[in-house]
Amino acid sequence: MTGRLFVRLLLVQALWNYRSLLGAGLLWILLPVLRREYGHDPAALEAALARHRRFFNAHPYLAGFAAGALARMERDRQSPELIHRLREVIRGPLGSLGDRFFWAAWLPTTVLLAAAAGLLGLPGWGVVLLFLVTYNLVHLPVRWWSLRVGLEQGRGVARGIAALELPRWTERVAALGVLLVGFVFGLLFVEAFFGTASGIPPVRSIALAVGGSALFVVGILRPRGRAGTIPAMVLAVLAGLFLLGWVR
Amino acid sequence: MAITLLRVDERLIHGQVTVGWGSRLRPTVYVVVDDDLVSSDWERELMELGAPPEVPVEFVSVSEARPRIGEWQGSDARVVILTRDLDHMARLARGRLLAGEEVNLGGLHHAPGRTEALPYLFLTVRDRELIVELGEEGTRVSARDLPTSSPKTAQEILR
Repeated sequence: MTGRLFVRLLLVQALWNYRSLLGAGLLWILLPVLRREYGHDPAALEAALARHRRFFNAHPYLAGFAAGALARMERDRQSPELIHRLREVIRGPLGSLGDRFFWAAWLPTTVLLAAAAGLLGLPGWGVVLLFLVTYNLVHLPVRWWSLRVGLEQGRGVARGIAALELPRWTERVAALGVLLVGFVFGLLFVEAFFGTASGIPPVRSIALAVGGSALFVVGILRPRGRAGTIPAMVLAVLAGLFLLGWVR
Repeated sequence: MAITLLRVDERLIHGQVTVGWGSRLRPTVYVVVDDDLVSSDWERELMELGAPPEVPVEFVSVSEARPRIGEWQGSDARVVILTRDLDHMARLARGRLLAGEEVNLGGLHHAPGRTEALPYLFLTVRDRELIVELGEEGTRVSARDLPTSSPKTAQEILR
């Protein structure tokens, strides 16, 4: 059953809409559980469907915590009131933890990693592959783990979410991201002014060191603003990449 | 700095508050005024997870919160006060306790019995009465989901 829920969890956004956001997707994930629990009793099944036929929002990758916990609560026949309250209260934390870690830190950092590899000579298909592999190396296990923990812990799922230590990882990944921004800027700087063919490694390493350490220091000095500044930096880097390609 | 934000939002602590408003207001404490959450450990634990780790979250009931409003208004802390509905906010304000403050309506979503006032604000008949009541108690009411969006006055909301 966990495997089946996991496959459905991967499609949690397939029914995304403005009215219910992830609500319809979550209902669809829970459907096999609700059918198994209440399939013999049409009235009870209808009531269970009504409980989950509502607005729901969360970060899609962390939605497994909610789906797992709700499935567990339905299985344990907890009261509709409690189930409703878990559904309400879990949205906020899953949204803000996930947005900070995945959208503001992990996604830009893995994009930067691939961009840096590309500037160092990795061919285009390799850049795409490197990004997809590194990004999903965290994304997919988190989805699986969150579902498992939700199913295990039910209503007490806060413990499992806290154990992921996402705020700490957000800080670390963001620091790595800042370092990579410096690295990529350094590479762009050298490319733009000296060109790769000229072969002057000392200048390259100086530019890298200066650019990288300057931005790293900026990142350290502004710890609270760190996660938010990275998306802006990524845009700057992408603009740089675009300009570089265009000038050539 | 006192009370920097008084917000009605059924999601309480979530991204719009911690990232949208939090990055602008830099709160030093979140106070959730809610009569149900004070007695529910598992809900409080979940809710706390949504706040940035360096900003503490306090959970208080309406009756605990009312005597502390003056303390928050006069403190050096930057306090963000959240309630999940207009009922909690109106009970907090009753007796002109929040006169001169501004209440921000940030998110009440679609549910049976509520009609749309703004895309992020669906109100019951009772909610509309409470908005008028807050105004009569000297508390300005406006709606604004994020600091970057334009605020709507109580008149615009109730129209």
